[in-house]
Amino acid sequence: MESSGDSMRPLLPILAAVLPVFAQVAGTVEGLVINGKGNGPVSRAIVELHGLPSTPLSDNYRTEADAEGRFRIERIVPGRYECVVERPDFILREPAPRFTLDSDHPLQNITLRLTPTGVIFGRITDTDGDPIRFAEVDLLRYSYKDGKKQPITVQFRPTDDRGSYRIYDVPPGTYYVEARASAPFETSLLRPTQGYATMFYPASRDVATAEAIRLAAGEEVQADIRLPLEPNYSIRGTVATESSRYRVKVWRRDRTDSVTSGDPVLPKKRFEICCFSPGSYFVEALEGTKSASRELVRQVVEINHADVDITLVPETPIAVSGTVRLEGAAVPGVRVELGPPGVVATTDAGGKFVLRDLHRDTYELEVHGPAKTYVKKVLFDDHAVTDGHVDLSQGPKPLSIILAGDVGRIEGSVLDPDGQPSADTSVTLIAVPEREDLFRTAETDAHGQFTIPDAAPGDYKIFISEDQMTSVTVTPNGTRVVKLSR
Amino acid sequence: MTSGNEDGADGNPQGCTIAVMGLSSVLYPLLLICYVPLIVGQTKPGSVEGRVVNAVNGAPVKKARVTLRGPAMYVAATDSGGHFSFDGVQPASVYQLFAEGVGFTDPSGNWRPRQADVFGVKEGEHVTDKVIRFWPLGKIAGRVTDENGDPVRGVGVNIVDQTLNNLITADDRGEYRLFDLRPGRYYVFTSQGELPSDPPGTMHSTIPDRIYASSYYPGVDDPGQAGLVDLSPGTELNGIDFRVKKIRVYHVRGNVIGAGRPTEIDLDRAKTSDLRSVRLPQVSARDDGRFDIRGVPPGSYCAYATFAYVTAGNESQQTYAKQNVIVTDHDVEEMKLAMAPKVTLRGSVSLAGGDNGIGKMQGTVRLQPEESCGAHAASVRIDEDGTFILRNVVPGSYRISVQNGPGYLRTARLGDRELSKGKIEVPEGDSVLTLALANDYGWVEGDVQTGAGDPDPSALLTICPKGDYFCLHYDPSSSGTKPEGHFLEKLPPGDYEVFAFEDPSAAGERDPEFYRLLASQAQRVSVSPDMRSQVVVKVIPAPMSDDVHGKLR
Repeated sequence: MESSGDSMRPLLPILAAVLPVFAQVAGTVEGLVINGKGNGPVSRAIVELHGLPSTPLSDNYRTEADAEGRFRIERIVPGRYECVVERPDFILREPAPRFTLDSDHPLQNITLRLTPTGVIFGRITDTDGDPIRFAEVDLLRYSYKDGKKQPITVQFRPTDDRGSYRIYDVPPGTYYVEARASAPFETSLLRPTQGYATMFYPASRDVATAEAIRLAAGEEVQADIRLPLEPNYSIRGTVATESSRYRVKVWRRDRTDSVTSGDPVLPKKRFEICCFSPGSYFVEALEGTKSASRELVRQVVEINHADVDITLVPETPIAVSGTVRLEGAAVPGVRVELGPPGVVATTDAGGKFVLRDLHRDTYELEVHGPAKTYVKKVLFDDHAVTDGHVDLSQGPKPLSIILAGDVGRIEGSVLDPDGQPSADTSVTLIAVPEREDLFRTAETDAHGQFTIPDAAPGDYKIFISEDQMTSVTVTPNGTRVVKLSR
Repeated sequence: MTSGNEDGADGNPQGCTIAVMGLSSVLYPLLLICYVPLIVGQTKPGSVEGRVVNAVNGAPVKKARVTLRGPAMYVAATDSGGHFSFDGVQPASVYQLFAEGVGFTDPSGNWRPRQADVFGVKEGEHVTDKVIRFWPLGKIAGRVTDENGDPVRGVGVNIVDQTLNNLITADDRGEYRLFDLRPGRYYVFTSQGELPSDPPGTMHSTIPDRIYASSYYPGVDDPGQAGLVDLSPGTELNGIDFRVKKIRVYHVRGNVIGAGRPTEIDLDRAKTSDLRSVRLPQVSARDDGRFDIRGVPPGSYCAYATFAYVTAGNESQQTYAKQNVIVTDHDVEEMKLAMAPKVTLRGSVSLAGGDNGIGKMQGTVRLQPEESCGAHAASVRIDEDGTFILRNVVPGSYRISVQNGPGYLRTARLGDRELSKGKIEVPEGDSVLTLALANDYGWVEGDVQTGAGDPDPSALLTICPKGDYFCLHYDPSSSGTKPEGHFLEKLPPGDYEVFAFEDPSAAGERDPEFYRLLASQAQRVSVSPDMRSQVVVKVIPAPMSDDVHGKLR
């Protein structure tokens, strides 16, 4: 207790000076919650004021708007606040209002324009029109993730016994609906086994060709999907190895998230892995234990309309050697990875690396260089690698990675709509064309400032919200000053 | 429709067996391996066909999976008319038909045969008209609204019986739907709501903290008044609606004082009922010992905190604090939770008339809490020399017992005070227990009968010391005594009440009040050393034990 008393002492004169002011100018916030799509009031919204920046010492306030959408909060400690509103069936789409309450501005008047949310509902059935229960329905929307615009699942629901699903609280926007289901129970022991195809609304196997649902504010849209049954096939065979401790893994080339694996069945050391829909798959054989396994062979297998019987012949693994250079000089300690799954090497003092246990396959290259550098150029046997994929099908060739250190700097400031600095705001930087390794994010400080110290020269889009992007070009060793608004 | 149509060398179709392989296929742990008949070539195969129908309305059941099991196994799915057929069936004297269907059996895949009569298939025989009757599962659906009749979203709806405890959330229209329910009697009620989470810092609210209180079918606030929803096979009960009310909730604030800072403070209902479904968040005490539990509805609670540390002697020592608290119509401020050490009970066990000090003692000493606030069951193995040490016991009311020992607990002493019926009030500070066992057991032998006087082999028995209800639970069918419904149990001498329950979970009830309310249904019996006492016990039907459960809630 004594020590805290000591630390309090220097503060006391300041508190004494400020306290009377606090007492005089306690602020008031009043306002109205309305339906932005009809201008009528929205009743009974919960309105909160959150002190900025948000800390364990912040003062926050909560009230409920009345039946006419009016609210009023009094005796508010001076400071900067963000206004947050919660109401079923509505969202605040515009940036949350922020304002400062002080002796000059003790009263703040706010109008909160809420947007009605919509509903996407429907039935998932088989081709007979019978309901599929426990199908998973995903609502997708294109959004930036890891520096790339891609379909992201924003909500998902299972279907009930009628095959019905209902996804609510959906803000207006453009969406895709995807449905998947486990194989029908009644045919699951028949051969060939059958599975439901994963489909996008209305009847597409691919999100690229699926129909977009443009959901307007407050709208309810029906999206029924029929899942056709398709035969599933097995991949079986042997691995030409002395060891009986091998394992076989299979995954779709376009979906690395779902790997099926199987062990050999003694005495004949044959494996059989079941239930794949037609498509292109990787089949990989590994030797050893789960914790210490070695890849024997990886091969692409096309499943058409029959089971596949293969003999996997272990390949002599190949090694790829290369160098990492920065302005002509060797760079030690750089992590170079070819995957998936990752084969990793680190450059030595001479900037050299050797990646071992690789196969005649196409790999994705990842380079983790020193701070404030970026990958400027990759040469594989004197051919430039432009899409990040290294093709080893023609055998190993030298890999030359050229880094550059002429990164530019982006210094920015973000303003709230009232012209005040915007604290605790996230900023995203996306390369044009998109490149995962050049993707950056930053957070504004209490003064609304942010810095991105290591942007490779080139064109970018920078934004707080995807609806409002600003173009910016970074020059070698240059500094760009960017002003953004929430 | 039939599986296994790959042609064998002899031109006969082969059946298929199922094997569970050592592989972790994502969708199918089951893999088919074609079965090669043992007798190849000579026998002319038979066939089996039939229908799967809904036992309630006789309607055909399509897309059911039918398996024919015998020396080979065959699988088929029913068509739109509910028909199934198996061709190329290997003749054999023992076949059984099983069926599974969505909405009719457990979709989790539990193997629940619905029909298993045994029949044979002769050479070239066409077995027809096999009918499998399915009992369909039921559904309960309804709507949750507030006092104005507006839908309430996000409220949990519970459906509970002795074996099932399901929870589903009402959607944006306040609607919920529960399906695949076995026929039975269910409690259906809404979960208590929760306060919205607060951002970091202090929340100054101009509106009082309120949450939705639980509401119980048929629209009552008190769990004691809750009724049962009777779901007959295959019915869809719509309109099981709830109108939920918001209640005011309060803070319980206070201070932890004394040695040891608990990481978590629990606030539990003083009298728990499985229908209340109260989940109060655990809170942590701050570094200065202060804590603030929010969202507490009016009621009686027990606040409990514990803290464990390792002593200099490398022993685990625990401290605790417990405090009853009643929340009425305002926040509770300045509650003090004073941490104190848990206590150590040392003791010895002897066997009356036994060769004390010579033979090896065995068994377990057990403390069963008689109150809910802070007390936890504790047990320790008895050393060969008959001594034991029970550490880290929270003072309070317990029942002491000795299990798997050479006899029953005849007398127990705490210090020099005799304990009646094993009831012990564990005091603050360490103390000494002296336990004496005896093995002059008697026997109770009897028959369990239905109301109509038929033997009931499936009922479960509960035997309670008369008027005490610290009971023992038996499954007579596991004792292997014949004929059906007959039982024989070894008991310490004394007066007993014997209950037989149709509902298996009723037989496991721990609440003494339950047995007190059903005492008129029990059979009384006196057990004397080395004597057999005879009884006939009538089974208590499930609705009757259900009703008593209802009264307790």
